[in-house]
Amino acid sequence: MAYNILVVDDSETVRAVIAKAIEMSGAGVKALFTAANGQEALDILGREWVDLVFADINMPVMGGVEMVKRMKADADMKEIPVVIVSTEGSATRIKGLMESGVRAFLRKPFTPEGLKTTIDGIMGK
Amino acid sequence: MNASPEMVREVFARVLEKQVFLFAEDLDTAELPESGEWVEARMYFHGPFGGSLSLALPKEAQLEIAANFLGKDADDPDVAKCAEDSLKEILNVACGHMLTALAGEEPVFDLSIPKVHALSLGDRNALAALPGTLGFDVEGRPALLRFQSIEAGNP
Repeated sequence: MAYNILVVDDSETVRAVIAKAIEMSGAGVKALFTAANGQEALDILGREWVDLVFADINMPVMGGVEMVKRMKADADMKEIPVVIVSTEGSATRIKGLMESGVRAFLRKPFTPEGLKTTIDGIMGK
Repeated sequence: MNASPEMVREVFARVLEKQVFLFAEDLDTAELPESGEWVEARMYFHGPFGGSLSLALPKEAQLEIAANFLGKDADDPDVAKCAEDSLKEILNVACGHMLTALAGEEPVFDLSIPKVHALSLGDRNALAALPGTLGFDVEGRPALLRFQSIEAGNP
């Protein structure tokens, strides 16, 4: 199974590293989209078929939390799973993210294997 | 809240190893080369207590981190382009893990976006001389790390 994946991070370097980790994980990728913030991500989600989103929390223009909130309010986007990729270690904040509709949380630094496990867990492998 | 040097050393070495496959050992802060171009990345955190984390190292070490971060050769044009971002990311990840090690998983901290600037040898020596600054040997290259916390309500 191959997926259309969207990576959202304000750092071009981090986007490249996550994209590479996805490639190395062996998870099937049909198309890989990238966005520098939540607003760019919503624009892409509005015009492309995306199966899974990996997003940072802190980004200029629109952060990951607001992006998820807007996705949940949109009938076409609300079922798309979002994985937050962050250095965040606060269980309190992670609990809040999960309650807001985030499907999974991946703490940096992560391995391609950890990423694959997350993808498989969400996509039902 | 005071961070023990052992915790700061352990977390930084672990993040460096896991993120960019580089090994860090202790280095006496008095044993720094008297030449070379250095950079410093610094970020701030706010929560139950606030503070800052800064990492200073020679430009060649910054490029090595970026090369390993991207999985490319150090002379690849992408490496120089991503050198600053890579250093920011290492600092960001290290800061997140140090705060968890220090305060546990319940408190919520907000982290600033790291900034990178050139560091003169004079300023580098001043940083090295500050109490609490830790020295590292990152596979033959020196680095300085300083974690500073301030209790909420205290200046």
